[in-house]
Amino acid sequence: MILENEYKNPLPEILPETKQYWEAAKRHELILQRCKTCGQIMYFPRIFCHKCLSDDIEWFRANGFGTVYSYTIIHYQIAHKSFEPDVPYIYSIIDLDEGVRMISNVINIDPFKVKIGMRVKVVFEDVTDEISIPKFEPV
Amino acid sequence: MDAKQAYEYGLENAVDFERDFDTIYGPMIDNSAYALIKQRYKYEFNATEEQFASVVVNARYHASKFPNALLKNLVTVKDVLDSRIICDPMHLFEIVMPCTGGSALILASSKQAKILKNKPVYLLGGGQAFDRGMWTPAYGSNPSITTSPVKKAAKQAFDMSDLTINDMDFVQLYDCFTITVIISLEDIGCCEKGQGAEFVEKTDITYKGTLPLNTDGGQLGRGQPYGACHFMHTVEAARQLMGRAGQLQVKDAKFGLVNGNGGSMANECTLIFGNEIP
Repeated sequence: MILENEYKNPLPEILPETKQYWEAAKRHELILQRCKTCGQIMYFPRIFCHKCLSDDIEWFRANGFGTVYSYTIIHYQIAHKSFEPDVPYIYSIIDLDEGVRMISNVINIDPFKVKIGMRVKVVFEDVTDEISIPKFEPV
Repeated sequence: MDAKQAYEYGLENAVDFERDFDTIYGPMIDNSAYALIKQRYKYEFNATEEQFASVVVNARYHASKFPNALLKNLVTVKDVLDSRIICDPMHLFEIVMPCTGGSALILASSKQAKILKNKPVYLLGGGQAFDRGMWTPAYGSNPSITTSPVKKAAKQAFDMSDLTINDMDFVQLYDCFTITVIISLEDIGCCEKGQGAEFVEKTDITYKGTLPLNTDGGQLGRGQPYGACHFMHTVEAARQLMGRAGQLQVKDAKFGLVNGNGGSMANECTLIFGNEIP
């Protein structure tokens, strides 16, 4: 039996490096890392700083706002078939206000109205009991 | 933990960053990655779809004359723009067609090459540059996705060969998508950043022109035999420099440039070839 609300798309796996990130997402908080040695801010989570290789890293909460850096409207999906019923949808690069870049979807808008430079804010989709996925919608 | 335990822990606990911070958002592999680059390029430099389409028109023109090409029918700018959108703003005809094929070169020392039967081609310079290990252009070290590591790779290759872009009689550029060609042209120094789209529209890039580009039709014309496709640009460069390019022969070709690209403009390799050592 297929449950009607079963989430069909790929899911992240919760592992030691990313555990805090997904736990925060569950609370609908977007968190980032900062290197305490050189100040580098990082997305996605890592166990050491990709700039200076220090492992002295802290988490902090992002303000949740960003700007669309680039986007594409996916019209055909043959690579990851589970997304096929979702077309057309936006797959985009968001520049977070903290200065890091993030791949995400822009939702709650007609995909044909998305523009580069558009201000967006994070929203969370609770896709399973454990996982909430950060996405963005127009401010 | 000892080395074996550490290895096993790693296998068990390795984060699949590609999946967890990209695939969950539904990319369409390389199509969406290059579409992101093209969209940004259009935004920054006001490039038009017609300009992008002229890369395809040129590729198909060469392919129509190339014996082993897959897509031998000529197309117009309008045909390209009328082809369906796969990942906006990428049209179907701006995307390579997979096919089977192979490529091979025979390598020898320059001393040995002199006594062989065929006219030799010399590798005069090479360069390689890398930006990231992931598909998506979002997670690179370069803050701009419209400038590529080609810039660094080409500089290394030119420095090694003591030649410049003005010495090149043709260029064979990796052309998985139209945007790849336009950014590569800028980054090897054919024109200023942001002028590549206008360059391909206003320059004669056929084998008879001022800067012959992808004289065998490139991947957009002759097809993309994945894995062999990077090398095919090198084979075509060798063919041109040996004078064996048939009706697509660039007249008096002495020097040529080849660029190979991987991972949505993430890693690049540029080579300079000549049929003489300058």
